[in-house]
Order: sequence, then C-alpha cells, then structure tokens
Amino acid sequence: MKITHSTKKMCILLFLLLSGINCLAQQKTVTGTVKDADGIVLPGVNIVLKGTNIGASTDEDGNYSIVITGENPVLVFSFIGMENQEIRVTGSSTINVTLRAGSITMDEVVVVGYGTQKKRDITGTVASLNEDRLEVVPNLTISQAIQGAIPGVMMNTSTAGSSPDEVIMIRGRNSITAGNSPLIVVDGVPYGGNLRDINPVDVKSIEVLKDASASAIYGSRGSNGVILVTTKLGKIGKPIISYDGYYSIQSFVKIPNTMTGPQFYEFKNTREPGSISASEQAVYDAGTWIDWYDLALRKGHSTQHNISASGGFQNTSYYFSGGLTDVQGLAKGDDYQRVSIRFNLDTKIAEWFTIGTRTQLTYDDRSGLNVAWDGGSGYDGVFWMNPLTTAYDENGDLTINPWPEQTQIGNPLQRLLADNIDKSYQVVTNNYAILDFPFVKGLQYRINTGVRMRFTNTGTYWGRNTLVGLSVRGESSTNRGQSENYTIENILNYNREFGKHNLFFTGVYSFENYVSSDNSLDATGFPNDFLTWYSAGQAEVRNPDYGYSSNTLISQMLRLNYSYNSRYLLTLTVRRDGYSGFGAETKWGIFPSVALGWNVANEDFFDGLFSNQDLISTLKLRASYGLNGNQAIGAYSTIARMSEQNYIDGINTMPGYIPSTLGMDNLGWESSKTMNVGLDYGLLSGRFSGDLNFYVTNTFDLLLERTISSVHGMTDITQNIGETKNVGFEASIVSRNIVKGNFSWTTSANFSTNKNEIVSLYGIMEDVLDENGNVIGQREIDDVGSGWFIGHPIRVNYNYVWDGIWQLGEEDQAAVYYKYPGGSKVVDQNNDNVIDPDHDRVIQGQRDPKVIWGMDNTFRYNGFTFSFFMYGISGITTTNPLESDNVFGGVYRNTTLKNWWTVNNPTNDWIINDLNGGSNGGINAPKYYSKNFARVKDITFSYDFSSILKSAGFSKLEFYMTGRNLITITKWPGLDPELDAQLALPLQKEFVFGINASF
Amino acid sequence: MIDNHKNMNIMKKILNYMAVMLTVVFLYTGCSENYLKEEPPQIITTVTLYTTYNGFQSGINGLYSLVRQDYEGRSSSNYLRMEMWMDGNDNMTSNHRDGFARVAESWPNNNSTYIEIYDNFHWLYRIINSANTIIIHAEDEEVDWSGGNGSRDENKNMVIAHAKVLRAWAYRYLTYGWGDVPLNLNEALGSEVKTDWVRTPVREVRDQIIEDLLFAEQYIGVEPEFQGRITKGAIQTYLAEMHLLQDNPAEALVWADKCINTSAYKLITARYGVRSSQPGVPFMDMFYDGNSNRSEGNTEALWVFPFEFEITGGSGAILRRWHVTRYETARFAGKANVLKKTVERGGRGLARMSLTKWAIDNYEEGDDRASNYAIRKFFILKTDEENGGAGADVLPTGYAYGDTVWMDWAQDISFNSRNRTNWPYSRKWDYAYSSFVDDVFQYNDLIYLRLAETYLLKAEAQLALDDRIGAAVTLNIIRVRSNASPITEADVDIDFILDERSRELLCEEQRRCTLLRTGKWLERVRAYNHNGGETARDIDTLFAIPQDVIDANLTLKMENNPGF
Repeated sequence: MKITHSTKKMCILLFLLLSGINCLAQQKTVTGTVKDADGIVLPGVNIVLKGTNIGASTDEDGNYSIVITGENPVLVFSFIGMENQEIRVTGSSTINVTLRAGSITMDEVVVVGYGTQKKRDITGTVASLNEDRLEVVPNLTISQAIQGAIPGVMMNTSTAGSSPDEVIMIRGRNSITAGNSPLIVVDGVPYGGNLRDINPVDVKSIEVLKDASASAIYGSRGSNGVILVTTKLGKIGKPIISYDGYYSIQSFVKIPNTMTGPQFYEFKNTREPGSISASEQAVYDAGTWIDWYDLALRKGHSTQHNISASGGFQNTSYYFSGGLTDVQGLAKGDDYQRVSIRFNLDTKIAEWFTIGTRTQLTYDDRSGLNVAWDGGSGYDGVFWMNPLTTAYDENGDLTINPWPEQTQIGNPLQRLLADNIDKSYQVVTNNYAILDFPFVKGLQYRINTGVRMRFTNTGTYWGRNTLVGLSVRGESSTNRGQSENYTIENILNYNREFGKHNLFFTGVYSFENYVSSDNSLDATGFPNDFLTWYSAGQAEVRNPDYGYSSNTLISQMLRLNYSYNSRYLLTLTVRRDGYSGFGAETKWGIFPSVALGWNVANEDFFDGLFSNQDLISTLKLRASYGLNGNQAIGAYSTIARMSEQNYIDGINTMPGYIPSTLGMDNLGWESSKTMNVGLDYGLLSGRFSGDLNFYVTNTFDLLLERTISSVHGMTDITQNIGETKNVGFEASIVSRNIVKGNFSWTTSANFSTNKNEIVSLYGIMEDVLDENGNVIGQREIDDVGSGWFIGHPIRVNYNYVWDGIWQLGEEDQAAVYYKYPGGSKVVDQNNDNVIDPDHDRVIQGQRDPKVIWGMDNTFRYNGFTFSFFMYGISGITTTNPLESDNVFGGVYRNTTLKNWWTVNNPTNDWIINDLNGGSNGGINAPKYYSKNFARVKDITFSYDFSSILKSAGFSKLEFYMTGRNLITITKWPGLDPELDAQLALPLQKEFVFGINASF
Repeated sequence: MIDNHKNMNIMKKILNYMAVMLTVVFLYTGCSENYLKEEPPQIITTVTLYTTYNGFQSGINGLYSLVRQDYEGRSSSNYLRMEMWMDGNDNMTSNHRDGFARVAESWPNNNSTYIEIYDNFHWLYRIINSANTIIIHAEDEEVDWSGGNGSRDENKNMVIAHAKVLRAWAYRYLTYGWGDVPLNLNEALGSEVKTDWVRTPVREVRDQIIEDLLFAEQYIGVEPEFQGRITKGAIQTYLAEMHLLQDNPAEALVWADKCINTSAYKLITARYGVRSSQPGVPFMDMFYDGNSNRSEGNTEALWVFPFEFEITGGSGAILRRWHVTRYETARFAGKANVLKKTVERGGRGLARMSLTKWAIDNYEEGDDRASNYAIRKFFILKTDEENGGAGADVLPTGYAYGDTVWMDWAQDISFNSRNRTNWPYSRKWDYAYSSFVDDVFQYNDLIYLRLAETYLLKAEAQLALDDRIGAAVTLNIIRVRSNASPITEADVDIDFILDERSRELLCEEQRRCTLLRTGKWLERVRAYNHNGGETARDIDTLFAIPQDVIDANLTLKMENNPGF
C-alpha cells in the first residue's frame, strides 16, 4: 500500500516538475538611490526581491543595482530604524526610494517555527533577541547572549569554567520533577545537542516562543517554551568576507574565605585540643602552610578566531564559516577547545524548486581534569583541604599524601596528573527541498531531513603518582559513545492574499528518532603506568559495559493564520504527538490552541483619535489560549525495572538482580494550559516600542516523582498526578532616548515576574478543624516528605528556623532543647519545649527567582559605540554550603572563617566552635540567605574605522573591548549568586579585546 | 475562461496531491504504532526474569547480596549498617564518632530523621519487597522449574525457602529495632501505591517470622548449596531465638538442640587451617581469611558472608574500618606516631566504635578469647623489614626494636576522653589487603552466625525453664573450649549468660537485640557504657519510625513510637 502511494506521489511530483519548466521568466536590471526623509543617502540598505533570496544592498552613495526575474516582481527595501517599503516593479528600471523612520519592530520578519511571519501578523508571544546582544558583545555560547536579554527567560550558570553549563527555564517552573528545559530548534529542526557546540558568530537571530499559541506547534515539547535559533545566509551580490577575533584574560570574581594556616591551627586546637598531628605542627612551625586556592587557580585567557564568507550569485546564496575557540580556564587543568565549521547554502534550481542545507561540524575538546573543588571523599577538594599540609615534595612533584598521617587523603591537585581525554565530534546537517507549486500561488511543500550525530571519546588514567592510582596499581576508565538523531519533516504551506483576506496554512507530519549507545571499559591493576589505558588488556581487573537508549516521536500539526486587512488576526493550531516513552494506552496526545490579535493602530477610527498620527504608531492587542505538553522523562519510564545486585560463590560471580524501580504502565503527557494576554506598542514614531504580557499557566497530570513509604521497598515513583500554576507579567521596552545627528542613545530593558504555586498533588483531602475540634472545611494534604505544599511554590525551603545563639545566662532554657551556650537556637514554633519535625519546621522562602530583569544601554557617536548590560535576579533564598562546620572528627578539613561564639565573644553570628557544634543531641537549624543580585554583565567600548578606511575596501573595521562580570551587587555570602554550585570553581571576570572586520 | 479552466485543473491536481499526502500521513500513523513500541533490549523486569529456575536463582543471589550489606557501609565505605545493633551497648561504645556513633554517644540524637537509622529501615523493606516478589512470582503456573540438581518441586520450594528465610531475617531486625511495624507480604506495584500503612503488633509479625522460618527449615540443607548461603542450622538457631522472644523456651530448646545435635555442626576445639603452624589459639582460627567457610574446615559456621577482592559481586566489608583503633597516631611513652600501619596490625581503622573497658576486662586470666590473638592490647616495635616494608616504627626514648608497647585502657572511654588512639580492639575483623594497607574495605569471608551462639541460646532457654544445671553444662562447653574455668549451676543467671555472650561473641552478635530480648539493655548500657550510656532513656529501647515513612502515610496517621 505504502509503496503504491509513494509511487503515485512521485508521479505527481514529476508532473509538477515538468510543468514548471515553462514558467522561467525573463530577467531585468533595476537601479536606483535610497535616501531618508531628510534627503540624506542611506548606505547599507537591504533590497530583496520578494519571495526569493535575490538581494542587494546600497553602496556608500545610497545606490543599488539588482537583477530581477519573475512575474509581477516586488522589491522590499529595509534598513534598521526605518520602516520597510515594498515597491512593485512596473515598466521603469530606475526606482528611487525614500525610507521613513518608523516602527521598526512591526515590519520585522520573525521566525515562528515551521515558517516565518511578519511581526505585525503574529498573534502569539514571540520574543526576539536584541541583535546587539549577538553582534556587539563577544559571546562564547549563545546562552550567554540570551541571559537577561529576553523577558521571562531565566538563564542560570550552573557551573563556571572554560565551558560553563547553564540551566534555562522559560516563564518559571511548571514541572515538579520532569524537565523544565525549553525545546531548542536550530534552523527549523529540533536540536538535542549541547548549546555550546553552536558558534554564536554564525547565528543570525534567536526567537523565543513563550505562550501556548506560539509553542503549541511543538505540541508535546512546547510547555517549557521553545528557543528558535536561525543561522546566517548570504545575500545575492558581492561576497563579504568577515573576520571576528578576540583575546580575553580572566580572573576570578570571588573565592571563599577559607581559613589560612594559622587560622586553621587555632580552629583545630579549639575544636579538638591535641588533635594537631606532628606533620601539621611541623608545617605550622615552618610557616609553610598552603593556600590551596592559590595553587589551584591561574590566569585564564581565551582566544577566538572566526572567518566567514557570504554572498550569492544568480539563484544561489551561501554562508561559509570557520571558527576556533581556545580557552585556558581559571582553574588549572580546565581547558576547552572548539573548532566549528558551518556551511549554509540555498539554491533555486528552478523558479519553483529550491534546495538547501544547513550543515555544521563541531569538534570539542575538554581534555584534562580540572582540580577537585569539593573532593569526592569530602576532604581532598581545594575548598576543604587542610592548609597545614604539603603540596609538593622536595623534587617539586605533587605529594601523594600531602598529610602524611592521613594517608587516605589525596592531593587536591592530583587530578592534574591524570591522563584524560574528553572529546566530541558532532555533525548536524539539515537538508531540505522546497517546492513552490507553480500554478497554485502560495502553495509550498517543504521536506526537512535533519541528522545529528555525535561521537564522544573519553578516557582517564590514574597512575601510581596519584593516590587513587597507587591504591589499585593504575586505574583507567574509557568510554566511547554515539548518539544519533534523525528528523524527517513534511511541511505543506499555503500562503495567499485574497483582497483584504490573508490566509496562511501550515501542515506538518514529522518523525523523530533518537538512539544512543556507548561502551566503556574500566580497568585496574596495571603492570606499569607507561601505556595508560592502551594496556587495559594487561590489567588484572576489567569491567566492560554497554549502554543503550532509544526513543521515537511522531507528530502531525496543522496551523491556520488568518488576517483581515492586517487588523484582525486569528491563529488556530492543533498538534498530535506520539511518544514511545509513554504507556501503551497513553502514547498519543493532542494539543490545540487559539489566538486572536487586533492591530488597533491600523483602524481608521484610531487615526482620528490623535492629532499627531505618530503618537501611537503601533498598538496591537493579543490573546491566546492553548494546551502544551511535556514529555521530559527518559525512555523506559513505564517499565518496572530490576537492577544488578551480584553475589559470589567463592571467587565466582553469581549474577543477581533485585527490583529497583516501580513502573507506571499508564504514564502519559504532562499538560499545560496557558492563557496569555499581550500588547505590542510603538510610541512617537517608534521611538519607544515594546510589549507587555500577562500569562497564567496551569500544568496538570504532572510527571511527578513522588515519595512513597519505604514499606513498599521503594521510596519513589513517577506518576501523572498534581497540578501547578504559574502567573507572570513581562514587559519589554526599546527606547531610542536620543537620536541627534551622529549621536544616539538606545536603551532596551526587560522585566518579568513569576509566581509559582502547587495547586494540587495527590487529591487527598483532610478536614480542617477549628480550635474546638469542629470540622470547618476541607483542604488537600501536602507532601511533607517531598517538601511540596499546596498553595506554595514548587521549590521551597522547609526547615527549622535559626534564631541566633544560646547566650550565657540561658543555660537552663538551652538545656530543655539539649543545648548549651554557644549552640544554635531553634525557634520552638508551638512553645512545647520540644523541637520536633511536625510542629517546628516552616517554609522559609523559595529557590526559584521571583523577578528577572535585564537592561542594555548603547551609546553611539560616529564610529564609537559604548554599551553596558546589566542583569539581575531576585527572590531566591537558600542556605550557604560554604558555612558548614562539619569538618569531621579529628578536624580533617577546612571551612570558611566565621565569627564563632565564645565566652568572650557572645555573638549571634555563628555557633561555638566545639566538637558538638553547640548541640548535645539537640536539633540545629540552618541559616538562610537571599540570593538576590544585580550584575553589570558586560561593558563594551568599540570604534569602527571603516568610514576612515573606506578606500581600503572595508565595510566594517571595528575594534572593541569588553569587560564581563566586573561589578556585582549582592548580599549573598557564598561563592557567587549566579552559580548553582557553591563548592565549585569560582566564576570568572574577564577583559576581552577584539576585532571585527568585513570587506 | 481558459485560464480559469486551467487553474481548476491544477486545483484538482493539487487537491488530489493533498489527498495522497493525507493518506500517506494516515498510513504512517498506522505503521507508527510499531515505532512507538518500547522493547528495550537492555532492561530486565520481574516479568522477564522470573520465568525460569535460573532467573529465580539470580533473584535469590540479589537478595543475599542485599542482606550481606549488613557488614558493608550505607554509602559504600561509610556508615556500617550493623553498627546500630552493636554500638551503644554494654560492650561497645562510640570513640571517634560518626554515623550511628553520634546516637550511641548521645541518645537524645535518636530521632526520626536520623539517616543512619532510617536508611536501615528502608534497606530492610527493600529486602522484604525483593523476597515478596520472588515468593509471589514463584506461584506462577508458567514458570519453567527445570534445571539444577533437584526435581521441579524441589527447585521451586528451595527458591521460596531462601526468599522466606531472608524475609524473616529482615523482619527480625525490624521488630527488634522498631517494635510494631507494617507487615507487608506483597510485591510493590506502581498501580498499587499505599498511603495508609498500619503498624502490625510485634507479636503477629514474629508469628509470621516463625512461619517463614518453619517453611524454609524443611527445604534448606545442613550444608550451604554454595559459599554464602544459609544453612538448616542457622534457621534452627533463629527459630530458637524467635521462640525465646515469644516466651516459649521449651520450643526454643527443641530447635537449639536440633541444630546442636546435627553431627556436621561442631565447635572448633583444635588448631586448623591457614595459620595452624603459627602461634595462636583454636578459637581465633575460624576468623582468618581462608578458614571461615565450612568447606575450609570451619565446622562451627552456620552462615558466612562471602567477600572477594575485585570480583564482580565480591563487594567489600567495613567492619575493620569501623572498629580497629587508629593506632598509627597513638602516643607511646610520650612519642606520637610511633607505629606504622601494617597488614599484620589490621590495616587502617577509624575506631568509630570501640570496646568498653568492661568488655575488655570481662575475662579471667588465661581465657583464649582475651589473649592478644583475640584482643589487641600491645604491639611489638618492628623494623622496616619486620613491618613488611611499611617503614620502621619510630622508637620512643629508651625503646628498642622487639620491645613491647602497651595500649592504655585504665580509664574507660567517656565523652570528655574519647578519640582514643591507644585503645584495645578485637582482632576478629582485622584484615587488610596486602598490597594496599590503606584500603577501606576488607575482602575476607566473614562469619555471620556460628554454633556457639546456638549453645548460648540453649543455655538461655534452659535458664528460662529453670534448668540451671543444664545451662551450666551448656555454657561450660563454650568456656572449656577457650580455656576458661568451668562454672557451676550457682553461677548461672541471666547476667552471667549475657557476660558469657559478650566474652564469646564480642564484635559478632547484634548485642542490642540480645539485651532487648532479655530486657537488660537500659540497665546494662547505663552501667557499663560511659560515653553515652548515661544518656539512654526508656524510649530508646525502640528507634523512631522514619519521618519520611510517617510523612508518606498520607491518608492514615501513623503514630511514632512513644517519645518521638
């Protein structure tokens, strides 16, 4: 059946191909000059033949020349800060144009997923990244560019370093235990790889789909928002060669105030008198104590070179680029190299048939182990390491046992001695064909085939010069992984105007398959260290392993955009998705949405309302409602699994298994209903523009990993239960504060708030009693075990409350709680003289942000540009793990210097420094701190020499200098408020010097 | 008109094309169900595993491996699971505290969120669920029971017997630790999550334990099927203990005698095995690597936990790490860091829990069980060569190699005098891996239950039946083997039996269980344990039900034990 139909399909295609050849039209050259309203010529104006890739731009005198083809050709003139103009080419071959300053935003074409739309016609909430964030500031990754630049998008750096990791969350946390990461789509194809593998220099635009209508086209994966990344393509005309390169130097923003040798000596003697060992005493006496941070850190620097060629000829446009990034991180051993090559091509084989590719090759090398910060064993990380030890022996080699009496404690720097490779190779190639049906105007078929393959190669060898290697006579672990992602998308578009009616229909059928597998070998007991893992065959113990995972997604989507007279807009979408990871009866989900828009400013009556027509140049009201899904659970979650638990008979392995996870065979989608009301505005001829949005998202059938009684033999299970709610407000503004002659000052700012709440969990009700024990109502019960409370945010701090320190004179009261002076006071909420979990734990703040904001100011004067970008988050409350006084019995490890309570220093800052931490069986409460911060992320100064060097042929020659993370305002006492991990590598500040040249 | 006609034609073709497209889409959807089906090649489930005898055998292996964790750490090398039954008693106290030692040192720490306690509760129910799953699936008609040495029925009963005895073993700990606990005999299923567990009265839980043990006793053999599996004698010993708990000493005596009278089970009374040519005492031979198993000559063993270095499934125990003293940092004659860590001295210890002074002094002169072969009380200063290349000991002023340095246990360990580095330690567990003395694990096979304990339970039953003469005879069998002087019926009372148990089973028995069974825990921990014993309260005879278990019982309030 299938074959027959495919054959028929091919016949029809063939027919259409043949019939299309007739309509190749004649060519014609059009020339002209473009000026602004004041009659000043405009260089660099883009001219595109509508509906094609054929384009040109004006030279320094505002002149252009373009070769046009086809019937009823229309030229589109666009220039930043000016309104677009479309001019139909009739008889004349000379067309002079005057562009009017205006509402820049509304004529922009925006990528919306499975196609593009004019911003004017969009009904959903789609935010575009301010181009300056991509162009002006040097970014290592595209996530750096997104951070703080789009309202409602939280981009949190989870770990610092040469190739930092980040967490991205759009419009708050919907899911309690499933993923909250947005879907990322690169050049139209869902991208499952690492964001750092995409070279930001190659990126033309980034759009974020936030509301249900915009993201519902991605159905099952839309509920956490969608980020669309579009890479560059050349324009027909003269080739442009660009070089972009920079060099940066890095130093840390802040390191923890761990104790110095003498401070630690005193701390240890106070805590456990007589516990100073002979070698510690010797180090102390000799004054040779160590600042481990000093040994672990170095000056970081990075270089980046990118070169690209773009342009086009006849019916072909191209963009080639090559980039090299080389980072030497702040921490010793933390290096990163990336080589990326991009190859984008579009070619019109016939008037009605276009093929193209977006292909990227990436090589990523993170070889070398960074020093240990926390330390696996809890005491040999840089942070915890005893300063009264010895890092190097008399030969200048790292000591294996920096603390001779404690031979189990290794050298925090030993990781530098391990042989390590960590490389990956990625190919992403999206190839497509577009068929414009010749006789049905506006009908287009497009097939996308996306392939992403990633290979990873990692290996570590610990030789006998390290503690771990010495103990097992050499240890190696190697792993080779391969992951493949295949996507096939059939897209049918129909886009046509009938008088004042504009119809845009999209239909999609897609298939996505992901397979990953890896094989690894761990070995110990090597005859020598010479051959590292290459001699694993000779090792005494070898443990091979093989991993595998696969999942499949099949989708159908229909979308209808309708507009009447560019005033009344309607979008209807529906998507149906099937995901292999769900239960047999629950694999399919349907996700519909509707959106309405009204361009009020286009109404005739509106013009009459204001004497100055430019007072409000844009006013659009939008409303949308729809259903999205979240499938972010791994494959095989519905299956009850067993795990290996082996036994032996003598020296023979006896394979064993035990039940390890509970399966839920009816597991299905987590769904989100989002209502969004928005307003796009442009004031005073577009001097101010921006948007406002208000949304309510209800997420239900949560993929919830709930805690269950361990009497089951398991302690958790994933189920579809519960509901959360996010309510938020977002505002953005772009303001051209001053535009006077050669000077301009532009501010773009965004602000978003989000209120997150658990609406329901298991639906189990309990009676609410009044003081007399009468039932006065019902409420749903909380899940205290998991720390989830109805009516509160998902991630809250639920704990005892710190209430300062028991002071001298309070001995008797303290004794009631098994405490004594110097110990921490815990608030006894119900004053029953017992600190117990039922009555004395309370909610103390949330761990997700309430407010995120960003502000970018750019000043331009002739060739000079100065900009600074600020970013801030507030509303997070957490503990500071650096404060821990848990240094183990025998005081094995260091901690931060604190104002400890003593008899002579009766402070309320921190508890007494003794073995019991001020408790003799009493319960302690942690201190919570606000993680609010405001940070000057970037300050950039640049100068473009191209106007001076015009004769040399440069269209751009810019030198720039950027300072990153230079100023931070925060009360957070930990390592860095932006980082998740506090016992980790410190965040870097850097100075970047770069050149950007095109000719 | 012509144009229009032409357009119409094209339109028709387009519509035709779209119809084809939609059909294709529809067909894809039809086939796509296959693409969406999950048939993971790499995942094992109870449904796929429990279809054959071999599958069930690997389930039993998994179960034994979980049970063996009693001698392992909660997090690999840390937090000995067994510690909660051993530390905080009359013969064991906290020294360098960590883990459960924090509770044993200060009983007010005994609360419902204490991980060393609640994680063991979780672990025991994991064992119970794994056992339940096997017991329930074994009744499936479809199972192919062929294979092995026995008939199909024998194979099936043997599998169920092992699962039941290990379920009983887990409930035994639960009843000692927490009293009334939910009695769960079902397989956990995702579709049947319960939020209204009820605590079953402890007597009913123990009835179930006895029922499971009785079933298992019929099928499990006198000799283990292979190293690491339980024997009939061990089950009989547990039956004797359970009947003592249920106030049925006559039945206890019957089961103890069944085990003792089995000819294959004999006390070790003469030197044998790997170190028989070196100086030593018969009592200690069975603890040496290579001697522990019945197949290696240990006729006294009823259940031995096997460990093996770097063999998949071999795992590693941390008894030595948890008990052996940090002798390498001890001071002798005013000199610190005198001794080198060596294999002969037991490797590296952390002394989280150490013997009480009472336990060390609880022996008469000449008792093999208190000799330096059994309890390390002194060291000989050695040269580098004598230390096997670990370096020469540092000589205190006035000492020479070959001289003896003595531990100091004159003053008992107390809260203000803990962290003792020169404290005697039991040598039943001192094993170190020869090529890496710092290794945190030990890999020798470790006795879990031996015949001496059956004798001691028999004496307890005899005393309960008021047969003091019989009890004295039974106890003397144990005493004479170790050169302790015989006793008479006048000496026999419950305290004497508890003293004798400490002498014989030091660092082996779950002392807390014994003392709770005899109602003597609070009295004796207060009398003999000076680092925490004085803080023990009435309520500490039970642990707190874990807070997460209370919290997860959403629809029915589960009361905790009194005082928590």
